[in-house]
Amino acid sequence: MSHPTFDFPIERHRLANGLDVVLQPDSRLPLVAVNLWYHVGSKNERPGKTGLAHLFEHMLFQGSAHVGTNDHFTHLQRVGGVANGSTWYDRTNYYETVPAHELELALWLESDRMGFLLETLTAEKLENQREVVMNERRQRIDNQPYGLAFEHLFERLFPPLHPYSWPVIGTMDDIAAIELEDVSDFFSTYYRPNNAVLTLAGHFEPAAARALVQRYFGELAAGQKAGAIVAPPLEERGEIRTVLPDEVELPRVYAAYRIPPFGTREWLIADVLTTALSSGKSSPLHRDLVYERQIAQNVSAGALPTEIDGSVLLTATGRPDTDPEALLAAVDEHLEAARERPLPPEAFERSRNRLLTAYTDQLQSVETRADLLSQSATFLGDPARYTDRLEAYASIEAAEVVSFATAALAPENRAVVTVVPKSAAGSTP
Amino acid sequence: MTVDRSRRPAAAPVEPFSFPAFESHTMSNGLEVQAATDRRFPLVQLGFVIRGGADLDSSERRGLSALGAGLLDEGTGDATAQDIAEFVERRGAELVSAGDWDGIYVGASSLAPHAEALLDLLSRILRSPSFPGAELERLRSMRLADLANRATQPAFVAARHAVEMTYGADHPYGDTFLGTSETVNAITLDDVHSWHADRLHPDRTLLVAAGDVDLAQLASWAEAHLADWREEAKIELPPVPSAPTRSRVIRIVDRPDAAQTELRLARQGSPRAAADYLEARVLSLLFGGKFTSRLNLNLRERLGITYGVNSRLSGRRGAGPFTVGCAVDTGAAGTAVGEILSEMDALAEAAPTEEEVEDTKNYLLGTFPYELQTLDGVVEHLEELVLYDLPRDTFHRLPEQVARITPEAVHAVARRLLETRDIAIVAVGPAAELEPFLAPHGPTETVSSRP
Repeated sequence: MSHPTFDFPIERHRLANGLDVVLQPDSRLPLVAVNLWYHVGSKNERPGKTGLAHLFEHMLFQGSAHVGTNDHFTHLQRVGGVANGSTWYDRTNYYETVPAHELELALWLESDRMGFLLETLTAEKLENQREVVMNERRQRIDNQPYGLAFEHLFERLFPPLHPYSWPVIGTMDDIAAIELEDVSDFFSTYYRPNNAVLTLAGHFEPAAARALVQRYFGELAAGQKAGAIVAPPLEERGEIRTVLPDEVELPRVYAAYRIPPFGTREWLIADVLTTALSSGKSSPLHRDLVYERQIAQNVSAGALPTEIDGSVLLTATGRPDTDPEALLAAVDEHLEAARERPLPPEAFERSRNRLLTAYTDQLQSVETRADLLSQSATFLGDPARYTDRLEAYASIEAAEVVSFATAALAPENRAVVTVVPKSAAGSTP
Repeated sequence: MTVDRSRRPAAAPVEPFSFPAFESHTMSNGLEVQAATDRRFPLVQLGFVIRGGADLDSSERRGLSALGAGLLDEGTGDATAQDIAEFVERRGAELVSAGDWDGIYVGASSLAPHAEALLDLLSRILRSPSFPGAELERLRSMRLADLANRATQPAFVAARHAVEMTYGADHPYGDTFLGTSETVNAITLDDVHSWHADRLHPDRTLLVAAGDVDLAQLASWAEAHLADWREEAKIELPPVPSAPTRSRVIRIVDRPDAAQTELRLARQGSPRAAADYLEARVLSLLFGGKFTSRLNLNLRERLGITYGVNSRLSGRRGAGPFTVGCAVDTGAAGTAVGEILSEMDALAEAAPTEEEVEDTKNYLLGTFPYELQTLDGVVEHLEELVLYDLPRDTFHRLPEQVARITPEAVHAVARRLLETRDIAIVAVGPAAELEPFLAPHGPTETVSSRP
């Protein structure tokens, strides 16, 4: 079937200080999403101070020169704003969706912390948020079944000193070691208008919005352009496998493959292929492992949108009595098939249609749309390229998928972490 | 020109917003059909919702509703589970068949051109599922594995103990709606067939569609696929039983090696259809339901002892639980429980300020359009009206109803909801370490984490 088209106009301009501004007016609902991407993440840290980018994100909610300690959320929530931030390998985003008549409030808040954070940064605030982050790490990772698997996986997938080899949230020791000076240096280096994209999506009049953005952000000083991160090259090496005993009942296999980064055609091919293999009950992996052989509780695969190098992450959770080796071998049969012969046309069609529907579905939210525009502006240099994937879904051919799978989805290009129940770990040779 | 940053900028004039218009039609067999047309995206979301869910399961067959609902799309007529999945997924669509406390849901979302084909399929799996024995066994063994897996998650374990202590093991709300390994093992194919015959009736059902579709289209599809779905017996839903209140107990669920302690505090809350439900929501939001709530500003932003603490009012057909939950460093568990209890007592004692009530009312109304950005959000709200038998203009009248809420009215709910003498407290963590921290807050009992 033909692709639906979406008539969302995009305007883009750059302020004199380098701030990249993207506007997407859409007046259906009286909401506006304000979304700021700073092109900095855990990749900009160094070993010994991992977790700095994320702890820094917390500090950006602790007030600035004209906004009191907890007032960022107070100002937003009392008008019905929904706000948050998140840190990842390559970027940190801050966003709020507010009633349209409070756009100026959101710009005032975001510009104040971009321009005037250091005036109110204190050791006391840092200690408080350090404790919060340590509890976040315990809650999400250390006290969760399977919580440590992903850290082990990426530590092995990428070489030592590669910026994706350490966890975004950081290690407990490193979080403890971060000092106030690290935080202020990080701000001065990376939190500059010329290292950020500001996207507005929703109900506003573009000329008025442009004027407001100029008013609040125009006077903020540009910074030095930070040096690009040079990652160690990914050398060829054999498959790496690790067994991790944990407080779990079901064995789970995590396999990660190194692929070209987000923004390449190969990355989009990986998106189509992983969807074809694992998305939906009728996908080959689900049908075979969950329905027919009944050795898996669930299985999923997808490509991670990272900037320096990409990856495909595959997870399969076994039944209580599943042998994880047999589970991985069963997954491998499907990957081998993808390397040896073209996907059946119906698998291709299913993958394209699922991706197209999911893509359309997510555009309903102004928050998601603003985030996609910031992502494309930051990583691809052009916000309009958020529609790239639509063209790719239509044009990718079966032979390209085979070439990609042959190059990237081979065992020698992956790391595998198998999480097994602690109780059973002793009895397995 | 330099901008004055010293005060928050003035707001622009408010843009009008109203809950989306929807139209209804009732078919001769009692089935109600509703459409909320929105043609901005070429998407349609379809949903059947049937009133009555896990709250009707017997305590010996806990989990029947969830398991039965999950089985609906595992076969109909000659079509196997895989045939159904292929039919849906080839079209890029998503199909859901699931149950919760209050209802059974069978729905699909897709690009608009596929909507009628999907409605045809949904009608068939709803009316005449084949319930293959092999699929029941497969889903049963997956549910058992799922329950074993959840038993390793501290948050799940804490929530389960909290409701058991609040309602008692025999009350429908006294466990999760997924059931236990014993009750899931006890479910037979006959049970599933009886469940289908007893529960799925047109007069308990709403068919709702949102998106690129209108009522005339929807009604004509329903006429073609559902007109002969006949009603036989009309049975009113029995009320959810009440549960006696108990005295305060602190249960420590021992996980000797836990890196953190998971806390839950629970009491019986209010039914969704209670006259003061909106006041209760305002209370729950300002107490622990938003980032700037009293609890979060205290435990996270002042003390730094948790990543986040929240309270939640689970509005169901009966009085669902009001819960407070957080994960804390084990050494801070006593402080956390003490602070939560003090905050409850303080709000039961003195009315909230005018300012925090106004802020919370504005939060509730301001986030309303945000919740309605997606077809999914619209459909959920329409389903809510039917599940709880609420007046059809409930959401259109939300602004005026919220505007009337006073601090005194919120306080009246607080006095009832935030009583701490009979509260259930659960701590999942290392018992030996926790006991001295928690003992000052009430009588403790310790149980193993492995039931």
